[in-house]
Amino acid sequence: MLFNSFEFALFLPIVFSLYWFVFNKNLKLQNLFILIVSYVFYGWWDWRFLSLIVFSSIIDFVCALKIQNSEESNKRKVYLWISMMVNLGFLGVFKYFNFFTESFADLLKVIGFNVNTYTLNFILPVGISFYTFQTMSYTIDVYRKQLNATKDLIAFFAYVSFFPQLVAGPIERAINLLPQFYKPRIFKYEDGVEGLRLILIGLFKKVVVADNCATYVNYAFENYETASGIELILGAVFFAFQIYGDFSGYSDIAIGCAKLFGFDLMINFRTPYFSRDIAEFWRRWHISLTTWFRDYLYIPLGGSRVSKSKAILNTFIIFLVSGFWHGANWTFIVWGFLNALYFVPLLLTNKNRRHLDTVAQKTFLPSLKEIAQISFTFFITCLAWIFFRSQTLEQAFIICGKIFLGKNWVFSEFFKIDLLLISGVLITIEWIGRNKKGALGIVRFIDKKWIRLLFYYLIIMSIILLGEFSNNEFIYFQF
Amino acid sequence: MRKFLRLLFIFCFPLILIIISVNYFGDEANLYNNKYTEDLADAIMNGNNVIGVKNFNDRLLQKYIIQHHKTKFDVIVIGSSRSMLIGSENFKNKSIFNHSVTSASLEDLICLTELYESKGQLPKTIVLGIDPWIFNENHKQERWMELYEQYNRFCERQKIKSSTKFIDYLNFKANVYRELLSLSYFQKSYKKLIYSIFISKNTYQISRTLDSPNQIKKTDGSIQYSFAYRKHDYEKREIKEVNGFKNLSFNTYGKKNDFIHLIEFYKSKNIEVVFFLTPLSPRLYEQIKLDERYSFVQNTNEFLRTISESNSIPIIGSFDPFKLNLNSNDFYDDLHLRKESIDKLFRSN
Repeated sequence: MLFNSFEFALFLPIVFSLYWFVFNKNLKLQNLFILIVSYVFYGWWDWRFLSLIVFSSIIDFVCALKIQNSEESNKRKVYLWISMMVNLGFLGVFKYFNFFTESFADLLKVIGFNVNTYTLNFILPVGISFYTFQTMSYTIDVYRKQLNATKDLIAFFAYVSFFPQLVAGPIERAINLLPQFYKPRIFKYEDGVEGLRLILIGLFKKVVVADNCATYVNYAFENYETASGIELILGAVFFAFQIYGDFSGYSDIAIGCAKLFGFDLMINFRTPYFSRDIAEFWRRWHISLTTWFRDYLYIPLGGSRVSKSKAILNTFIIFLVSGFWHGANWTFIVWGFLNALYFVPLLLTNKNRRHLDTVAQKTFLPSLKEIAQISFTFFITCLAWIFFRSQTLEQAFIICGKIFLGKNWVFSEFFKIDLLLISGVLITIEWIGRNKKGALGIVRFIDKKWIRLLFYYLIIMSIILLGEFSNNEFIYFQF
Repeated sequence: MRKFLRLLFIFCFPLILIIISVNYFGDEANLYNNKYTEDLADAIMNGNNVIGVKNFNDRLLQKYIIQHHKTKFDVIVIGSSRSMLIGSENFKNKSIFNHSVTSASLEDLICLTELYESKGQLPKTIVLGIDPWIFNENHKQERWMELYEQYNRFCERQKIKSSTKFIDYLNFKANVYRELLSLSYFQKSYKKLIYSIFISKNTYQISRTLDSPNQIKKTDGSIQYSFAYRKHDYEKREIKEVNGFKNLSFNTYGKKNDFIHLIEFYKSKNIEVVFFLTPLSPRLYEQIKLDERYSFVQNTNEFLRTISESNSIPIIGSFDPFKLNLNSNDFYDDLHLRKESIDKLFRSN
């Protein structure tokens, strides 16, 4: 079920009430309750998906224990590889099988061989890329002896399937989330309020910003052959807002929901569009995934403690894999390639770790230099987003061609000024709260309680009046 | 926890109250306000054309008209929006009423028939506007459930198995009340509420003439599309698959038996039946005629011809536009034939 659906609006308060008033006396029972409702949540899409997540959980639970209990290095490796192969095997079959067969057939066609391809008619299980990565991180951490394998089956299954973050992240490390299932949760008022704030801003980002931008983005990308250059530029810009609103909105709601149940999830976005270079952008965007790749792929490859050329190669590997993780399409791979390309100048000049603080930390407005840096970073990000959003490479190249070489600068009637206003409101809220911890940092500047309440009501009314409720799914569900 | 629950109550209770109130009193689709539909029916029965009416309960409107109309009609038309343009000009010197409803299903034809049967005022002639998908079990339309009672009565009398369980009816009714909490419904209803408070309670006007650029519901129950719709460039409209084609389990015709029962009922009452088959547009028909997924169009066409021959039922029209020498100029869109072309079909029959 979607976070912005009637079903979830009923589901959450019922689960909350039962969790804190019925099952709070017994930790194991409470964890079991979390597990059951998480399976109900996940099975709501398609009950058949449950078999995969249960099987994956069983394999990783057993493998981790075997790894823990084995002294021999080879045996430990075998169990690690079993876990990896099962998880990657699921991804390979459900997500990438058709891509590989069709790409192989296309390649053979180029050299003159026509082959019939056999494609699988599988529905892509929702969230498979997220929970497989989450469980793989568990077994890898156990293998690295950074974490003890758990013997608590219910806690582990609940960790894997925890409904707030199951289908679109954040990808939680076991080190962070699993221990929270071992100790009793105590309801704290501040956490509850913060949770509600996060849900509120998350819904604003999703139904007001993302879903409204989606109408224009869909128009621009579906009519790219006849759209003007300016329409396509706006399409790319609004897609940047759409994907941010969609994805960070979902993460906010996930983190907020988790807080309501006494769990702390990791922050997944830190105002990425205020980044001053691409390296900072990737420290702020989809943090759970980028740190996953950093810890389990980039560092084992040597990271940046190798020669320059190897560091650049490692960067390309990470971004190409990351692109591929997002989808079985060449457009995602090119998107990853572009982002890697953006990194090269920073690596060559050792400037990839320049901006570790937040922009304009001591001033209210950015300097002209910072504005230029932010604008440039946003521009190159949008350019890459064109590939991310396009259905084919051809479409992406045509769009880029029309933007840079096109002569037609006519606005369409489809464009509505509301989108600029809505996006502007989001930018303002995020800018004012950029240095503050927690959701809606802007409210930390408001002393009077009644003004804060009024502000919350304004956000709620804007969700109700401006929200797009035609059940647009979250973009990242396709991953 | 108490403080948190108090906070939740402070926020949620007024909001929920506002949403429910606006949805109930604004009621953009007139889900909860039968008076709107009754006033509309009274206006029509008093010989008025209604201009600019929208968002009313089609089935309840027809029910109210049938139950309160004083005189017996010679001819009635029952079908979907594809037969809504058939009017008094197509039946000279006869009293006629068009009871067609949007997205009509076979159950609608049955329910409307039963309403007349209950009143004891079945007409001499019934024109059935039949769509190609009408016999497909997966053509999941629920709006006919407004007349669930009539459907059940017909099934009991004719001893046929109901296509719907009572739980489905309850679910249908629950969905109506679920809209009280719907945010998308709120977005439409608050505008209507403001309009009704500051401008007018009714969103339509009544007139004795047909002189309006807006859509008109005529006093004989038929409609006249808005000027803009009648004049739009059909070729520029993108071809779209429509609800009748989507999500069908192809080549299932479970409802054919119910239709046969309906025809037998008409025969038993000595009612003259006419089948009206609105053609699909040439470009849509070209697309689907060789596509196995849409073989139900041909199948339904042939089935109706068989019924027509064995029961001496005349057929006006065909799903195949080429058999009627029609071209794109004869259509408003891929499913709806122009009024002039409908008149031509009736004249030639």
